[in-house]
Amino acid sequence: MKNKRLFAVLLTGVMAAGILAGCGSSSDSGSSAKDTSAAATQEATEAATEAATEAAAEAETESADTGEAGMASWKPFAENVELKVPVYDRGVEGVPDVTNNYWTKWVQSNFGDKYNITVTYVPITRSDVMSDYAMLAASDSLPTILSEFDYPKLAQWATDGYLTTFDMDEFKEVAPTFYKAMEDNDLVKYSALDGDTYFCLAQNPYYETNYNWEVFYRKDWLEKIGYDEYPTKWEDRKAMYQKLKDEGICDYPLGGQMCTGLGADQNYAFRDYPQDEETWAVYGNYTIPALGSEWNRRFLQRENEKYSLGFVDPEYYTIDTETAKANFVSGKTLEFGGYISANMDFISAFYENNPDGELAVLVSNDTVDDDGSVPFAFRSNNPFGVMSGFSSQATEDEIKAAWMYMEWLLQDDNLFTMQWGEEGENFNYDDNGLPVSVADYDGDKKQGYSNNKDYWNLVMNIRTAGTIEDVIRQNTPSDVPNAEELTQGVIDNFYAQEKLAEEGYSVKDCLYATSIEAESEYQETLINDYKEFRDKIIMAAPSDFDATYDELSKNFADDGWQEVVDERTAAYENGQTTKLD
Amino acid sequence: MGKNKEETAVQSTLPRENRRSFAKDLKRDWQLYLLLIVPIALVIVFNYASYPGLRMVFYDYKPARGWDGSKFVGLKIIQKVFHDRKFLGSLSTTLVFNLLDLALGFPMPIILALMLNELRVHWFKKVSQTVLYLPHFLSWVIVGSVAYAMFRPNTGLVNMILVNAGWIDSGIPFLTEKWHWAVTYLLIYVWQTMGWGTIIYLAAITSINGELYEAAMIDGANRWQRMTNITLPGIRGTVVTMLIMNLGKIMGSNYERLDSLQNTQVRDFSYQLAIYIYEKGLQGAKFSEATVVGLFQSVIGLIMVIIADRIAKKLGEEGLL
Amino acid sequence: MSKKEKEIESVSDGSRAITKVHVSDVVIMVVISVLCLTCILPFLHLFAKSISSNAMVMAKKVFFWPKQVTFDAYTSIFRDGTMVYSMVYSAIMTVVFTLLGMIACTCAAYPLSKKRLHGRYVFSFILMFPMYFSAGLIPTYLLYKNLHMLDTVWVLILPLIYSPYNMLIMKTYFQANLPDSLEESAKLDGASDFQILFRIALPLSKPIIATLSLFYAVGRWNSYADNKYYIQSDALKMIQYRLSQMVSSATEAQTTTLSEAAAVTSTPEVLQAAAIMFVTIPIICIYPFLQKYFVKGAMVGAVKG
Repeated sequence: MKNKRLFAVLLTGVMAAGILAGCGSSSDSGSSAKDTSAAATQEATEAATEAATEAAAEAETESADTGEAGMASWKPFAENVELKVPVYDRGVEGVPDVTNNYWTKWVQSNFGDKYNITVTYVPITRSDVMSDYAMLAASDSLPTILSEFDYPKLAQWATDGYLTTFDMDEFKEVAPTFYKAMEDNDLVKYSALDGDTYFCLAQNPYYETNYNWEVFYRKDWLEKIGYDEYPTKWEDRKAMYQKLKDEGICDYPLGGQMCTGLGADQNYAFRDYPQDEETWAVYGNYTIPALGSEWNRRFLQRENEKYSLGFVDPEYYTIDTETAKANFVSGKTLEFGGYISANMDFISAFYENNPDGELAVLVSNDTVDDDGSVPFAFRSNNPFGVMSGFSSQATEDEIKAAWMYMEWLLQDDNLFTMQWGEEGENFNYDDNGLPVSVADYDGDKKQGYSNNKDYWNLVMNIRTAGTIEDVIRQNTPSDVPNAEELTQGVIDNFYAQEKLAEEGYSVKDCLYATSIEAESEYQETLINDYKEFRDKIIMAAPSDFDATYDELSKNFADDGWQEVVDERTAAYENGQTTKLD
Repeated sequence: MGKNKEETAVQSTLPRENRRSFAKDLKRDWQLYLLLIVPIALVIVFNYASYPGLRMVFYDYKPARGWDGSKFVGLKIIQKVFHDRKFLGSLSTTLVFNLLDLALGFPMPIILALMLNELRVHWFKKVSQTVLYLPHFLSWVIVGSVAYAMFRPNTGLVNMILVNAGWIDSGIPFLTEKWHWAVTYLLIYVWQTMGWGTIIYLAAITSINGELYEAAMIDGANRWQRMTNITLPGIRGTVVTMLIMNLGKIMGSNYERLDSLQNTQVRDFSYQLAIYIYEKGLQGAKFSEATVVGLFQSVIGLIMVIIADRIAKKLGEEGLL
Repeated sequence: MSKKEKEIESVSDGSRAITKVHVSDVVIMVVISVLCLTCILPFLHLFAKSISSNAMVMAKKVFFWPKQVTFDAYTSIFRDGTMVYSMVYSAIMTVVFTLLGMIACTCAAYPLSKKRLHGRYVFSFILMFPMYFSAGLIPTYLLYKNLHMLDTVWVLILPLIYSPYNMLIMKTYFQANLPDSLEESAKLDGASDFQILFRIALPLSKPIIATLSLFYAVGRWNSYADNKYYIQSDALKMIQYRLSQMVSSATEAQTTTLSEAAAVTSTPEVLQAAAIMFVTIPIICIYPFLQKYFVKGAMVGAVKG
């Protein structure tokens, strides 16, 4: 058993690019002089890591941290320090109290007590992050760490004075493992705003693919009308949709869904590749749809065509996600997209309602269509997971404690335990020595939402053990009729997207190293405008398309979009943006 | 209370005697004053103590910086708010919806009370009253969730039934299209308040002299005639009082109601003052702006109440103040 | 009320005019029945959903009758315990709040109901003004912060226990139902104001006490916005807020940030229906039994208030 455990630990490390197993032998050539001592300590200890890890694996408790890199220099604080860590409160049923459970106590006894730190957790309502933080700021009770997924939110906190700047060299001394991981993943460049260092960033393995979001379609329908696979090019697809309609298999193959705002209407398929950097920087960001750009025109033109050909429900704008799901489950539409997990309600419900149906995963490929569009181009995630900043209301010691906490959390053993729990209770090893979570575990050591993710996301965005194929296997349903095929489909799609990414069709967002004021001012208005306008454009008669598009683009520009464009252009010209690779 | 005002006026014209008698009164009624300490302490600590915070309207208040770190900006924030398109938009939406609430929600309890009063099967009357009171006891969270369960375009019960019956092809967007939403939103309010609202009118009807009905019936008046000639005039006073009280709430905006029924598709209409304050003030951390709007609401509300009170007194009803 | 009703009924029964217009009786009964159904059917539907299987619900096959009956959702609510905890906690909070509320209300209403009280008008004004003028959310929030009440149970109790509206109703009741002569004779027997309040006034005011208690209890039980503003700790959140978080986590799936890109799971519809029923059933079970009191009390107070 102990070997299996070690194996798993090492595999986890592979993904956490740059920690023990992965980069144990790489040298710290890039470090500054100030950092050398810490780095030297790190290297020295890294050599002994294999043994240390094994020792740790042997011990029942996770107390073998002493002697690990970077942490050696830590001493308990002379006076007790209170470290306040934010944790999402998602209001979902069936998870333990986020501020007080076995795992928060585990952190206290394994980390806090050792360094005379009292770790408390501050619940942040997931659906209302900004107001929770505003309230906390107003009552002088901001958590020591402020964290969020969205860059603009952090930028706002920095400008509103919630965050303090810090010295990256000091951070590096306290948390060398964390810093090195940022460096190895090329994340350091995102840590500053207007030249001041504010943030540190969690890793996000496999960020360039969207393997955890898949489109499922009715393979049985396609076979019925004589298709082996889902066509790629638009003309072929059109023919297929028409055939589905003509043969009376379904009324609206594509169903359609209302536009829900943020991240809706991604025009990646219709961009000019390779992208022009300035256009990408100004129009390529997903936070506000770029109505008025050429890319969006092509995208909406296609949507308009789908609408006028009757492939989508004429009242698609009233269909919410739940309804679209219900339509798919009850056999009214061809396809439905969703996040994968070991327990997918719409897939099981589909098979219960359509025992003769068969689903397949829509696998990407790198076709370029006749009109130059790339049907499977997609938005990559950010290269980082959660971004963290540190409270301006915190003392120096508190911030140091925060850094220590993040460093400690990133250590393999600690991270592994937080992610997987206790062997024999929360997870077991399978034949390949990989951990497998016990789905219906319900004891004292029950983990929080999504395997404690809201605790460990400060340092890592996804839970990985083994190769990506293992990861996918753990995250796809195994109790549906053609589970094996579906899993294989997801794996195939992962490799296909990886290939697309290599060819430059996985597009990152442009991030601005300065706060774009117009964005926070107009974002909401523009998103609401967009929802209204895009529906008008899609439902316009094809002959009126261009006129409608131009007219509404002008309204959009007048409502603030032009100011956003101007500010972004200025930021780009001043070199305050990330670059295209 | 009007009489009481006169008393005070008379007393204050006689200051010396007044003072002497106050000492005497205090001695006589000390136990009553002792009781009063409790509520007065409560309002001072929890209400009056918050008024100094209103000076925020003259500052550009930043939550993380506090009073010392925030700049005094005079009337700048106030001007900014009154030039903010979104504020003006949410203000007019609030007023329109409150007027519609009044137009639809106010008459319904009266009509329902008149109907309940006409019921002669005793058990039916009792049971239906009990059932109609139910919505009053439900929180907006529950009302909102129930509304979604009923009215979602496709999975909502109402649409499921209508589609199954073949009356419509696809669901009606009761809650996801703004005009439909407006109607649904208003009707839900009517539904929630109608039963409870009948209590007061039924009480007023009961206090009408029964002999009037007897006399009317002897004269051969039918049910409708009795209703319009006896019952309605009989409850006129109550109706006027209630109407005036409701007019005083014209600037109000209920966050819980909007929060549980809003969604992204209907923001044109659901973006009312409570949501503006919440989103601007808390989510956007613009505390001063939110305070300006809150203050504006309070001031207008106060003026409305005073006007309502005057009107009530002019009409010979008991005032509110 | 019932006495007068009977009078009218007995009169109408003997009258020709009424027996003729049978149609209008039927029409009224039908209209009222329809309105009643709008209050009952939604809950019947939710109840049916809450004990049906997820697949049946997703396939839109559940109307008023459960399909593939299962009590899994309720089992998981009880096994999980947080909802049950919130329920018990909210019940205790409601009781404490109601008790303190009645004390504060009586302390204000009783003295103010005495015409002889010197300075009555000033006190009334001080006690009524906050009802018409509030400083708004943010100054209030900062005040509670300065009082160190944020994230404590007290912030859900103390600021609201004195309600001007309830006080007004109670005062009106005292004035209408406690004749001065009663007090005078008690005074002659040497009773103090406290003794009169506890031995005479309160025992005579049972209906209004019951009514106002119900108002207080319903108010506390149902509101959740203050939980949202002032409470951070899970353990201090009341049941309605829990429910609202749960319901909004379902819509969150649609609006969640792209960057998070995690498996966003929403609470399944069946579980949601069960949670709604779980919170509603106690209310449905309790209020009909209090009806006698609140109708009586609400009439007394409201007609004048």
